[in-house]
Amino acid sequence: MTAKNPSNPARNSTLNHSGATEHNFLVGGGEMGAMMRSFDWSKTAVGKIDTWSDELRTAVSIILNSSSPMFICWGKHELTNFYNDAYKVILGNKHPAALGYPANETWDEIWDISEPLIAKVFKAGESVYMKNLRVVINRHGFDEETYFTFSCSPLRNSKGSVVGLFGAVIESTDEVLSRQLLQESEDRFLNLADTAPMFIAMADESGNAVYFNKPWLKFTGKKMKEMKGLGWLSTLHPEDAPKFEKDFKHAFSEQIPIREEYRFKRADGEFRWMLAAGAPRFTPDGHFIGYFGTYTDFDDLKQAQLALQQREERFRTLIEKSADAVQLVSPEGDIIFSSNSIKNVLGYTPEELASSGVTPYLHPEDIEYFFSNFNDLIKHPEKQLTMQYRVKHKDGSWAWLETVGVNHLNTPNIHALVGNFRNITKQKEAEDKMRSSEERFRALAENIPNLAWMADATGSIYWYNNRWYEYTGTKPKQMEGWGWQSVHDPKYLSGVLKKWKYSIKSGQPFEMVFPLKGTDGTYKPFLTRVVPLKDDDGTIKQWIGSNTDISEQFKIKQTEARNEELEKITQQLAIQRKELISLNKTKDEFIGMASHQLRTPATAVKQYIGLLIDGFSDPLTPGQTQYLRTAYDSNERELRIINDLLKTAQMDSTEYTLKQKLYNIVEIVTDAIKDLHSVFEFRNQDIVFSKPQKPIKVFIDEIEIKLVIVNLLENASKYSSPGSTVEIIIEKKTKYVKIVVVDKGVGVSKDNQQRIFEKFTRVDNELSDTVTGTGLGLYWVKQLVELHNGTVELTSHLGKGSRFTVRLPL
Amino acid sequence: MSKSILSILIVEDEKVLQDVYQIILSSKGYEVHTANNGLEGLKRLKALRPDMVLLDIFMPVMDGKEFMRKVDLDDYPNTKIVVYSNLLDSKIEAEMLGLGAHSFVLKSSLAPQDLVALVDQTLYN
Repeated sequence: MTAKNPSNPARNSTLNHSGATEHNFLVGGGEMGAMMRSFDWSKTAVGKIDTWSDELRTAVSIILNSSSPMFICWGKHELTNFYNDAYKVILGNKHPAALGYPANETWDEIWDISEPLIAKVFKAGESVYMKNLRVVINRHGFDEETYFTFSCSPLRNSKGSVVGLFGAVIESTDEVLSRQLLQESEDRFLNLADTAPMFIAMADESGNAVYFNKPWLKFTGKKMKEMKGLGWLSTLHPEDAPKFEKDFKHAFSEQIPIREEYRFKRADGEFRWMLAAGAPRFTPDGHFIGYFGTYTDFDDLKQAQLALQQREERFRTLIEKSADAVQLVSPEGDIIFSSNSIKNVLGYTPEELASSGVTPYLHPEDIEYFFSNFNDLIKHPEKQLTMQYRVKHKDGSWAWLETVGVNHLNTPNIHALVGNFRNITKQKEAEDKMRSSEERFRALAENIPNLAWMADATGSIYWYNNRWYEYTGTKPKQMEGWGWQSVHDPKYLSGVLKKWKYSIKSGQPFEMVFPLKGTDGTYKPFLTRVVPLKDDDGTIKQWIGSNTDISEQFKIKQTEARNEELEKITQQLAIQRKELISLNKTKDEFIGMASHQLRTPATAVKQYIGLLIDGFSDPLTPGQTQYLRTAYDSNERELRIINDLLKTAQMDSTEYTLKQKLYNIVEIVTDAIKDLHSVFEFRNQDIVFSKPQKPIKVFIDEIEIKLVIVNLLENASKYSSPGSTVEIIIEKKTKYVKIVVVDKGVGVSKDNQQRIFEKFTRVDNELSDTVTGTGLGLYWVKQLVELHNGTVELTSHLGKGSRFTVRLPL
Repeated sequence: MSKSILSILIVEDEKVLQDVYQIILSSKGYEVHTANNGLEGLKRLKALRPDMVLLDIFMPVMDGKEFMRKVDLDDYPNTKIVVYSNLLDSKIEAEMLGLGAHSFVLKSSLAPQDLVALVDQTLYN
């Protein structure tokens, strides 16, 4: 190495010339200054101090006087190290060996990184600046990850050639590593936050949102950049905005934890209640840097809470404004207690009522009704019943009361009859008014030439005038509710439905022209108007509709020829229709007369044979009686067939009407069973009937429904083997009564289950040869039940038996 | 009136039925008279003033409905008119009862004993 250090005689002489003061540039300079002074430079590439060039001396003096870490590499090839005190730390145990030593050897472990940088300075004469350069050095006996920020500049001689490198360096290892640690911890936090089952957000000290976790973003359906700052407030419910702003300002000025409820908009547009909990954030030195907030969606809970609140409020209001009153009455009829609200109901205070019993206030016509119910109630603990009767109001008028009475005589702490009263006078009057006005309307509607009908508030039609049935040739059961669609032209139906439904929804009157199908199958245009009937408070009670035949006015613009043709066809159809109607009438009359004529000779046969059998003439031998009995029975069968045919013909005609009243179905079934006693006895069969305790009143035609039950029971008997059991069950449901007839007989195969309800159907089975019938029984059952707006169903398995279920509406 | 034997007038166009009813009712001790149609029936009613009339509906010359319209029931307070027919029609039944008939029966439902029972019941109740 020393060989590379050619001495410069001229310089040497100069230095020598300087004498003791020649080393002035090394004066001071701390430890390194002292070290350099005592260092034996002769063994280095730069040689003795006396031989150093001015440039080197200047540079060395600069670094020694700096408190920042600095170094010099001198000589393009030699790279002799010079450095100051501050740089020693960077060198670690490389100091003091590094001084005057070639840099490439001192920094052997990082030379692959350093060399290109140094080369740049020496060869290109450029400065190099690096920030936080990562290098792994060994300065404490182990490989160490370090970071440096430094600049290296060329040192030139008077000729401008680069003779050295000047470096200023700062070690940034601690800073970089601690930042990395921070980053890692933040990453860990964010990762945690993103998987947390709650919404997390952070705001800086001025209130700008700086972070939202993934669940938050997913909830709002927005991107982080849309949410940041104040952007996220667009998801806040407008009604909650003023409160939020107030809370927000308060929190940021006080820097205290907050806990409030707000609604935020979810991605699907729904607002959800959230519990927001915010905690202020501080640096370790207590400097406020914003808020850390968690948001929990507790909407379901909140809704339940709100509903509860509402219910409680409603209940309180109900009690305060109740139109109901409660009374406790002793079995003797003395009033034990009246609630204050009795005044709302009857005008009397509880005190006014306390002395006298109930009787003085009752309407004379209702006294018997009242006490029969009252006595019934007393006899039955726990029983509950509803009564409607009239009572004298304090103002002298008769008030209708609806009372729900419960027998609590045996109930601990009560021991009284408890009555809940409500004044239903208005309701009664309205009902009466409605009924009579509806009756008046119906009477009127029967006398107009238009088709007319009435529907309930939901648009379900429950009444048509006879003109409707005449024109459409339909039966009431087909038309019920929305059944009218069958007489509409399918082409226009959807438009009609749309408009009608709109009217029902909006309460707007309906007006439209559309075709309706007549009995003859052709369509005629009708102008249809429907108006809503509202009660005092504007609620729609009913709809009243009329359909006016405007075929005359409604001339479709078509060619004359087409019109003529149509007219001809229409005329023909009208004639055919007339003919059909008259034919139909003739048919009915014919059947009536035919059955009359057929019966007359059979009646004579019956009388004469009966005369002989019943002993009105000379006595007969047992053999003769037997023959006559057979003839008589055969004649009876003929009469029965005539009756059945006539009944079927009547049932098929549109004029067939039921005589409906409220009848007790239990009694009808009991009678039917009694009537069939001999039939069951004949086959040695049992009939099981669990008779309900209470009567079940149904609006029916007594004779026809009995016929239905007799037919079902008779069939069950006929198609069961001798000795078997037939069961009949009556069940009362909320909307209908169910009558079920179950047998263990031959059953009906799947294929035949629909067919047996058709006219003249008799299904072959092992018993059919021995059983007589016209095949009309089940046809009647179905027709009659459906005329009552009921249904009949059959479930059956061949060889296992049948189960017929009749449902009649209550 | 205290007649020991009760009398019945049968107004019926069917000869076979007239005959058999007469046989049956006579055998039970009633005094039986017959008429072939409504017009004859009115005449015999006036002359005989019977305790009971069995009146058919469909008859030539004058039918049962016409008979009921013509007869002034106030003149015959002790005569009960039972209408019987082989036409079972609720409208006609209602009409006849409305015109003052005591009851309405389907002819073909009556065996001889039933006829006797019907007459006994009508006259003794």
